[in-house]
Amino acid sequence: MTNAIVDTAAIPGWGIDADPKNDPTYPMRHIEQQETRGLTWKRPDQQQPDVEILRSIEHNRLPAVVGTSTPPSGLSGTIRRYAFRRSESDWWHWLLLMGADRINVVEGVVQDLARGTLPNIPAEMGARAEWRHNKKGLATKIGVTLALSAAAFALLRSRKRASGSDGVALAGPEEQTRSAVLYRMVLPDHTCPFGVRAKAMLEAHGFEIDDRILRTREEVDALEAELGVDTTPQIFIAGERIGGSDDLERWLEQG
Amino acid sequence: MLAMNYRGPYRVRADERPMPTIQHPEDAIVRVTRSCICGSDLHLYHGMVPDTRVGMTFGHEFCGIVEQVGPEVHNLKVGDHVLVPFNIACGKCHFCQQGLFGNCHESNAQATAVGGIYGYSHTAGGYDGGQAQYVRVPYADVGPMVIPDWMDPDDAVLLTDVVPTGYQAAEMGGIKQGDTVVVFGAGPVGLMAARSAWLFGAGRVIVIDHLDYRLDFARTFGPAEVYNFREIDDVVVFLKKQTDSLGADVCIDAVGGDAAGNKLQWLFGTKLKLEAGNSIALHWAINSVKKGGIVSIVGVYGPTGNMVPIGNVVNKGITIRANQASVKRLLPKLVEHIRAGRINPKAMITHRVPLEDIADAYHIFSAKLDGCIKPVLLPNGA
Repeated sequence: MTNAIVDTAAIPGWGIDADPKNDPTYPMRHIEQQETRGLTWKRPDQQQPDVEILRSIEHNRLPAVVGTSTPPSGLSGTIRRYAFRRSESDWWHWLLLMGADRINVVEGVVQDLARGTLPNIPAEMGARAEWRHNKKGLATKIGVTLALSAAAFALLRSRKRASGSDGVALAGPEEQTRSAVLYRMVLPDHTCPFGVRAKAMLEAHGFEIDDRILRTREEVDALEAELGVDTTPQIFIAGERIGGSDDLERWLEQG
Repeated sequence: MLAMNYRGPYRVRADERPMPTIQHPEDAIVRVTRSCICGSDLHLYHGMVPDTRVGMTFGHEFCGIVEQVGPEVHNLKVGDHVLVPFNIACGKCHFCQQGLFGNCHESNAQATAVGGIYGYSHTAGGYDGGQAQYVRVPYADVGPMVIPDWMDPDDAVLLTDVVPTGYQAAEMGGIKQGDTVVVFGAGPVGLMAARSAWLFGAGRVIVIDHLDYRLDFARTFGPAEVYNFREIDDVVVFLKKQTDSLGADVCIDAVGGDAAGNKLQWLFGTKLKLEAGNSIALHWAINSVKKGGIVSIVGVYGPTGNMVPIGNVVNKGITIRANQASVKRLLPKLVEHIRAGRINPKAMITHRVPLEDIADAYHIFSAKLDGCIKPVLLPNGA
């Protein structure tokens, strides 16, 4: 490669943003405009998320706006909840989250299958583009994959023969979609955390949820009077009242 | 609506998803006209960022038409064509008030170390991003800017991240007239950093990478002196020789944790995840800058730790400047640079892809196929 020295006179705008005050450079801390120095700014309105939000323990309150993409669910969700007991400074916080990410990939495939779609993994990995622009690379990858699978298959077969068993069929009881009715409280200034927790537990156990949100104090009082209880959430499964989130947890544990 | 759907490392596809909704009075819903894949999306795509959940939609570089606004949005109206900075910023908190719009305290529940970023894992707030037909835009009065009539939307979409990030890399370098500036990485951000270094009065700009097609582009786009580190025995010694054995005045890391160039770092950082990505570019930057010089970092690394020669930072008296770009702060200046023809970001766009073909677009960009520098997605057609 040859490199001519660049003539700065030929550069449009050369030096136009040079600033002798720019040392070591902007922005350093500009605090002239600030009346106070602490957590006292006039906050934006608080978003009321209707999904479970994991919050860093380095925050003393939920930020005014939060993302509601892909709430924690399943085993990966349980690991994430545990990870969030540790600070951002704790190595385990991040290692646990990375572990959860990998488990989440398997859960993703299971979810796809449960919805009746077989994920086309080569297409998701851009095999078509690889074919168009890198045939040699694609051939190598396919070759290596086939060789490795053949080796693994051969190894498994030889082990099976050695043990003299054909293995045990792992047919579990047929999974049915179960459904639950969840009454929970989401008031303008307060989202009931137990309701969110109950929803997360039901999701984690594959329930289809009829999520009935009570948005005013009156709605909450009316439901509690009707059922003769004095707390929310209230969960119903197959017409049977299970109770609140702790009751649900016990119920789910007993299977 | 159609949206990108992350299924795991190296696996993405486009799926039908529910439409986003207004969830906060300052929200807007935007119909996306252009959306880029960013080099930092590749960190997500490679599974390097913790808490990247299956099912998320990525995309933090996008522009589009305002479809719907919440009751507290006053500066935007339905039908406005806006470019949306990648930072989600409230404009009110301690940090936004200092112009640190990349460090907002009211937009990321999951971490305090970074503000919210669209479609950038739950470590950056858990927002679905703009590689979709529609996207939820929080704090719509603060970040988005109406695209001026004269501006090409291809330039506008690059103003959401690439241009300000490259520009801020040069700005943080505190470049003084005549300085020698070394930019590690000839991706879109490195290219913009090289271009911007001249605006601050650099005397020499050198770009280091290992892909000849990108270096060739950098040579004319910068313009810059370009060198392929694969053809050089020791980058640090080489750069010292280029600078009278003193070292460069300013070194810019526009690479981050997905670097190539060192087998040990690749094993520890990229494969075993024992450090937060391969930090060889930063290592070279620290060792190539002159004593008392400035190292400016805009490359993205994970939240844990990296192997870098911190002892040399002390012994050489180096200043390290780093941040996520504060897009909103820089926009007025950068819009003016585009209007005056001093920068031409859209020249970096090499691929235009419909959202349906997102898996191929990611693979081409990640594997550096087909001379790819910057791919743009067209979620709602051209």
